[in-house]
Amino acid sequence: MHGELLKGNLELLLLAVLADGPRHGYAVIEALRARSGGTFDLPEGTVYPALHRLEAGALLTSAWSTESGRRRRVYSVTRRGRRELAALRDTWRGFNDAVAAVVT
Amino acid sequence: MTTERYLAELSGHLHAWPLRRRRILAEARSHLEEAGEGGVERFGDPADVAARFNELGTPPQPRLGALAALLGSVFVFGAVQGLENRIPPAPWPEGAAPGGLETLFALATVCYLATLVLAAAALVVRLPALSLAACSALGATVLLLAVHAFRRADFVAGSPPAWQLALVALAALTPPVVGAAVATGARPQRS
Repeated sequence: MHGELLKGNLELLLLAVLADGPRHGYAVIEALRARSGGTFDLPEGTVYPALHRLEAGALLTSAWSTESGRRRRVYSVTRRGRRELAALRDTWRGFNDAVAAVVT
Repeated sequence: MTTERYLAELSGHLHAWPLRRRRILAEARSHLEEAGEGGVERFGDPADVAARFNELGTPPQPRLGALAALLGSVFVFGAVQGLENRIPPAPWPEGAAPGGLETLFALATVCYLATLVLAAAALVVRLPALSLAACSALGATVLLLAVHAFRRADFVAGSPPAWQLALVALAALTPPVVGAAVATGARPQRS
């Protein structure tokens, strides 16, 4: 169940994590796991296609960076990505409130 | 499974152009090295991961397409210069070429200049349509020059044989065809 819920909201989650600052893929996954208290523990390789999709939609940009001799692709949210994040947050809050009103 | 074997399997399932494939594999390698032991298992089945990348298609690369058009235009310029040094001089006075040769050359020149302008614009504004237009203009240039060369050979004895002209034309068509595919994001069907 978590998998399906996660899949439907992966773009929102990735944008939210990256809105705090540029991160490489591994750090994005770590942040996602840490901020969800371990709930969002998805196959790590599936995050990269999602990051590429967001980049293709001009919601993210990326560039290679070398830290401590290790080469990593670092992702940042674009201005368009921040606008999309705000819209997705509004949609999520509305949906969350509606679900809460029904099930509680 | 070792990282190398995992990456080889991932590569085997990917349908992507070399540059994109290299980027995907480099990111996966960087991740797996960072993750350490058990990283390969947590990354997911290589076929599943590749399938998700394949679903995305290949993003358009307008700048690469424009670069291909520019490189192709340099090749065309060199090929025309090379041929001009090898072909015998025209036996007709200037402005009296038969078979519409002058019109063909003038059209080719216009297409060539359009290629340069469109490719430069595509490099700046990164629009796939502009990049595609640059590649199309270069393709038209090559075809017009090829027709010109074949027709001219009919009128001038001692011209290079048709197979040589065809070979040069085919080589000159490669950059605009590849550039158009890259510019629009067309992807290879086989990995």
